[in-house]
Amino acid sequence: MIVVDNLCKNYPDLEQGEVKAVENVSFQCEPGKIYGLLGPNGAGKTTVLRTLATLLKPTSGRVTVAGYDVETEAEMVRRSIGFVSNNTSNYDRMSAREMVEFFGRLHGMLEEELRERSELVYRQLQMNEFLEVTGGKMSTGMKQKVSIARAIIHNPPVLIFDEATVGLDVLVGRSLQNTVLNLREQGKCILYSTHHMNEVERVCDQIAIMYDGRILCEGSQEELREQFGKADLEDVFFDLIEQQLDLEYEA
Amino acid sequence: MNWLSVKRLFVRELLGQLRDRRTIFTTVMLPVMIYPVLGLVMMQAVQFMSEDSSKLVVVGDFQYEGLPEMFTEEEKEDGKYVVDKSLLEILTETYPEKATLDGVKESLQQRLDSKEFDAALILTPELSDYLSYLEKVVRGEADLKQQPEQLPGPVIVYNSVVDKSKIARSRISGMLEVWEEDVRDYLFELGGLPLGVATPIVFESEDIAPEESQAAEFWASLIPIMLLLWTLSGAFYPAVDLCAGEKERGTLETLLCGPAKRVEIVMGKLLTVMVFSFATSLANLVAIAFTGVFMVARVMPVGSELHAKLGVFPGWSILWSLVVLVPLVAMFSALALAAATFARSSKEGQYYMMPLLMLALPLSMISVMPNVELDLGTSLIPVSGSALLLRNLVQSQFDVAIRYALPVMASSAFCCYLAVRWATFQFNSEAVLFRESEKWDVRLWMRQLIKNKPLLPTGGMAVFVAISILMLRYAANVTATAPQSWQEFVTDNSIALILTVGVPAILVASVFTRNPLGSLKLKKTSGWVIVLAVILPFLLHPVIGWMGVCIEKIYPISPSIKASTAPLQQMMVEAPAWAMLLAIAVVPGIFEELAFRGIILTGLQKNTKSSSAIFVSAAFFGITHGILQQSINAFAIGLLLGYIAVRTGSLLPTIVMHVLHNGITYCVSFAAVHEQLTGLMIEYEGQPVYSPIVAGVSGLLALILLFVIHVKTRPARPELLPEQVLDGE
Repeated sequence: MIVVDNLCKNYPDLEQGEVKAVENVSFQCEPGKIYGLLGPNGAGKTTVLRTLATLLKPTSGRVTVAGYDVETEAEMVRRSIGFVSNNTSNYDRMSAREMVEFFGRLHGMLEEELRERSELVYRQLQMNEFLEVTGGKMSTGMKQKVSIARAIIHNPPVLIFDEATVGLDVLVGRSLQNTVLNLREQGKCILYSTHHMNEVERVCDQIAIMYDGRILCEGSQEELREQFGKADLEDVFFDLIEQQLDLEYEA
Repeated sequence: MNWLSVKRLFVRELLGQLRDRRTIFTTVMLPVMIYPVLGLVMMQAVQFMSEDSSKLVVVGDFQYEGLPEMFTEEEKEDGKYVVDKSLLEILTETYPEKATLDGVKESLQQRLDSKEFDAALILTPELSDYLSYLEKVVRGEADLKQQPEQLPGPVIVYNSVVDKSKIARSRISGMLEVWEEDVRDYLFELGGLPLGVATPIVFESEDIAPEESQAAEFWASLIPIMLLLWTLSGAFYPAVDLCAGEKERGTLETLLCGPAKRVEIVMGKLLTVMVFSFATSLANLVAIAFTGVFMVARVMPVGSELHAKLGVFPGWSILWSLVVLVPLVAMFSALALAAATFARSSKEGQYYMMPLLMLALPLSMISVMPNVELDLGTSLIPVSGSALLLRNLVQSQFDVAIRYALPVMASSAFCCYLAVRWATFQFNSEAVLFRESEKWDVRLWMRQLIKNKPLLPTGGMAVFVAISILMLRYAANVTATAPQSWQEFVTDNSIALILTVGVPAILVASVFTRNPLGSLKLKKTSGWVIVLAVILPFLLHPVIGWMGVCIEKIYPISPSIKASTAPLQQMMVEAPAWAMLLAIAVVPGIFEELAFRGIILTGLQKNTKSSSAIFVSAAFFGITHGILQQSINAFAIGLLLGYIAVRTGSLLPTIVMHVLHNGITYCVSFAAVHEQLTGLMIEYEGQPVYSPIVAGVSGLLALILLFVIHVKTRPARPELLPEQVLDGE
């Protein structure tokens, strides 16, 4: 469903001339699975996900989402995904209902279809109490629910969550994770990026650990634990990062 | 483009803006409120001004039996300026005995400085003597003596820097004028002469303009400029909120990862900005008309001083301007949107307002300049054309307005299209959308520039070279002196051109790129291309000649410019051909090509589509030519040369064409050559031009050759950049 093949992304930079934000990243995500992209801040997760959402163009490499190429079929890619990140805010001067329905209509949904679908989404996300509240007056939890509703209103096959739990309290964070698990049950292909270990352990089927623009290792939770001989995923993560730091130091 | 999406985006943006109190206030409420308040303030100010009486000291006095009184309360009609006596507070003083006029003046000046009074009038004893002498002469009681060199008269002492003193002076002089006439009439009557002798000829001029269009210049020039500025600011605030504001609030990314195409998003936002810009101008117009109709008439009643100066307010007819506002609103909205997209935050967005204003203000000021009228030429200048059209509408000159409405709208629409393209381009640019604020360091930047040189120049370098050339050319033109001989002309011109155009291009290409030759497009090309490049200038010359004639028809060259080129024409005749060919064909041909089709075009190609790159490089090429008529010509030639440079990838054919074209122009300017070409040339408005048949046939042949180049140089696969594909265009 998501195929990333040798993705590279460079930025011009004043100090270094060119920064390689993402370097030869390849992975695949399947429908009905949650693929976790784990890495510290600045590892390049957001760049990868923005490329998937067609917000950025790859410097090289090929990326297809739901069978569409992000470079040549950008519009079809955007129609097939729901993108939630902490950079995608809601309109302050629009109510929850207006926001969700606006995106539904933009996706070309018919009124009848939109009504049925939105009622379902509102129920699933327990949004009915604050449907008429405008964005500016919402709590962080409410905002996140509206973001998710906005992203899934057109029932896309692929969902991308970029550090979606940042700034949420434990309760709301947990409810978001439940929503994501629920979406997996519906057969969605989900890409989930985070730097919280416990979230990964709870929701992800496949994991890739990213550091400094590269994927260091990839596999299911069990595979990773086995490979590194550690019982805890957090230890795996620290070991890997330390190895990298040593390598850099030697170089 | 899916118009349904555009509509949905538009409705959402509009709703969002309507729910923002600040936007509504600045765009609609402020103009509606500001004019009535302005009118009220003016009313107060005028009252204040007119109720203030002037304090006048009259030094010296004389009484004559029969002579008309100086301070009469009688009102004179026939438009003469008469001061109400209540506005003058007169203090009379006797003329100090045995004092000189200069002495009296000096003491009055001191008292005037201490603000004891506003102005003084000195009536000297000499004046009194003179008047009595005159009366006696007229009565036949005295003999006519020789006139003194300077006749004695009343002297006014005032201070022109102090407003109150100036007003007092104008009041006294108005009064004195009336008195002078009275005295003259009295003397004439006394001498038994008919009154008509004094002013035997009276001019009468009849203003045939309808009363509405007599609306004085003041209103006709003020209203368009005010409207233009409000239209721009009305577009700017929502534009900043819709682009920079959304970036700041993080909602832009939400929209960008949605299904809408970038161009649809731009159109949705553009329509919203247009609605607000139009609402602002509408609110302004209605408020101006309302204030004007109901207040100006009260503040400046017919016959008042202000009325005489400012003229009749045009009244409700100014609402006609709404028609013109639509294209203007579209243009300003698109410009504001493009500028606002570039900004990272609302605060940064506000900074871009000033440059836009600086661009629009001088252009709109053209409409106020004397002798500038709405014609085909001025109507095509963006902003200026609209301002002039507005002026004509305010003056109720509908016939002229209708004639040029179409060109004005066409030029505005074209500018609007360019601005929309620019905005869309920015919405496709990652660098603009996800621009992070980073610390900018000149040293780091320079080091990067040298260390990590790109293979070919970047768009930034191209723009840098173009602007450097513009500034250097400007400096060279300002400091240049007129050449005294042909030798001077040839050397000055060639050196200036190499230094101002050639050097920046070659320098940037060799210092800042890894492939200087490639950056300047200096590479070999096929032999057949060169052959065509040799033939084409000869075929194109008649067509370009006619283009020049047409341009001059639309924008006639001013006599002063013609006069300034006359000595040069003379020098051209005197100079040997090789020198002139070097100065006006070879040197410009090589160095202008290196700059405009070389580094500038190559650099622009890196950042934009080839067509846009050709357009922009041709625009720069045109602007550097200084004189408008030459600029337009150069722009058109620049488009053709740019196209050939892009298609062949080489500068050689364009250098050949440029050198030959300039060379042919030089040769054809000789009378001897005309004679050789008798069959081909005709006389048109005193100028030799090619006959239309020759121009038509050669133009057709040129088109065929260009088509050959077009077909033969077609790229193996269509040149399609990623953003074009993303654009879905």
